[in-house]
Amino acid sequence: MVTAIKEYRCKRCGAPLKITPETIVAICGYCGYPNWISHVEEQILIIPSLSRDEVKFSFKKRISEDFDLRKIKDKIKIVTVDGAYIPFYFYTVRAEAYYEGWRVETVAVKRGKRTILETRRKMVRDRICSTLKISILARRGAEDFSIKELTDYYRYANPETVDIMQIDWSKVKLPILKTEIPVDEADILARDKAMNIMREKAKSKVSELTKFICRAKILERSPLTLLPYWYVIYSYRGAQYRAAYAGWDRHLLTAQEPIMPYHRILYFIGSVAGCLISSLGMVFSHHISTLLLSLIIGGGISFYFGDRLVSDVRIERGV
Amino acid sequence: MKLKCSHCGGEFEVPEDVNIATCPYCGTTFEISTGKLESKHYFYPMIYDSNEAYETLKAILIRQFGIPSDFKEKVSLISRHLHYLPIYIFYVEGKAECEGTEILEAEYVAIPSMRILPIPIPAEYRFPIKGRVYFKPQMLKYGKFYSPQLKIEHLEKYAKARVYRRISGEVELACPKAEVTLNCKCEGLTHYPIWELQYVYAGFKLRGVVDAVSGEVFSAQYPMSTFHRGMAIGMSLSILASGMAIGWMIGQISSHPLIGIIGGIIPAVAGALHPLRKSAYKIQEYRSQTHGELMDESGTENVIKEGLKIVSLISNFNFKLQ
Repeated sequence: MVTAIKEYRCKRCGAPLKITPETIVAICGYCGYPNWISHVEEQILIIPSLSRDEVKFSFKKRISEDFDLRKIKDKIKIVTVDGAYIPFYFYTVRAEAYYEGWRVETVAVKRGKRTILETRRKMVRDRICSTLKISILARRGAEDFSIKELTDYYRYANPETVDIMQIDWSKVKLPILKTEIPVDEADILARDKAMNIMREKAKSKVSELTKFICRAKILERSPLTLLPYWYVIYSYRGAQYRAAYAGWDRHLLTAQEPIMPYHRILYFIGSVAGCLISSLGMVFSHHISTLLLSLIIGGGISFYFGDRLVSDVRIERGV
Repeated sequence: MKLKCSHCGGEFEVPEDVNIATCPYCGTTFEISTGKLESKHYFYPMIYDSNEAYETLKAILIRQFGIPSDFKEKVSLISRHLHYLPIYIFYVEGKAECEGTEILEAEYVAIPSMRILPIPIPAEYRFPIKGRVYFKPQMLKYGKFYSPQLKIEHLEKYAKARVYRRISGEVELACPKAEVTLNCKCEGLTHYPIWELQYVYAGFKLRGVVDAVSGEVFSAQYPMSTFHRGMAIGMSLSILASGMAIGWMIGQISSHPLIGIIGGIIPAVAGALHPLRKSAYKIQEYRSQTHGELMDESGTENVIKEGLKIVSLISNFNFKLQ
């Protein structure tokens, strides 16, 4: 959503432009001319986006094909289709970590005729090295719906980037947002993120981490990269839901969808299945640990589906 | 202490121990001792007006489980208030040297500078910067501005303490004796607009809170229809009965009847909790799930107090304030 703070007009046709204080380039809604609002010194890469109509078409296609949505497609109305170019820095970080910690292992030991489970504590010392791909959103607090999915999908799809100076402006139909994080702060955030990932890795290898040292070195930083992001707000029976798309190929990132009565029946069955799992697990387990484990798993399943049973929205993720 | 605004002439009260004041009528923010305008003062222009905010709120409420089907037609807006909350944003960087490597933690921390919040907001809310502009009083038409009520030094300490809490755990694991250096940069005071909407349905007075910049609904009350409350009780009883029946059957098959029943009934209680909670109250509250729990009205002060407690605790450690 954009708002006009100060009246700007298109340099070519004079039509009013909709801009926020952070717009780098505003595309004239009438003639399509790119108006540079603020000066940019660094190199900027951009991924050309598909048009609003193509995103809309994609959404319409989805509601006529999706298993849940096609049954209600006549009652679905598109409220808005909007988006923006979102700035990121992409890093390759080399991280080397050394850790020490206690690992608790459960081993089966034979005592005479019976096999019993024994827990043992073992000291583990190891090194882990990883080359990590890190993305830093160059805006503060803009962690909007589906931003994580957008970067994950960008890494997976690896679409071609174009220098912003060479782009065909007649195809860029989205406002471009300025960065708010200077490069040196982004570097620190990237290294911080890499170290946190390594710590989580080390933590997953032991049950108690006692020492952790990590060295993170930036191997590569991409120029500021603008990813096109679109979202569709649609209504069904007066309630609103949102679906987010990657702008370069209309890939669905995440979508909120209405919960239908048959979903609630499935959630009810899920909740009862939790009881079944726990009960079965408990009567057939021979050890207190497996007995408790089945109770926790069954209880967790039942609790989760009980919550879903009275919730308001389902989240579907793009594959 | 009583102050007079240099811009509009309005008179207002501020706490004794603060050095920056905001006029509640026009938003002008100045240093109390010198009367000089605060240079790093920003605000967010409202993007969602009260009607758009109200429509968004209704669109979210209508999809809630159990809301009466005539809610949209019969609900009416009775009051709207735009609150401009004073938010300080800090960029904090924590560093420590350990065996030739650096331990790092960096975070942007946004804290409302208020002892008591006029409206509840999520504790972990990351205020967007999108749309932040330098403050100019002539840009505003309405809204209530709140003066910063907490000392900036305290807020800064809290911001540092937050990052320190994270980095100290890491230092402890790497080199327990390493010295931590914290660098804190204040990104200025920002007044952030939030809508408080009051609406009535069938005699019930309800309240909703909506972010006027992003349009996100933080919280909103809604009524449950009697039919759906009954249905929710039915659901929870059915889960309990099914759990017990399954447990009993499995118990009979396996010759451990008691364990079977326990195994069936405990998860059933867990599953029945949510539907039961829905049926218990006529007035329910929708809460945004994205930014943590809601801080209640007295939240900030507690948060700050907790932060200062951490500061006093960690002052025994190697903690260098810069």
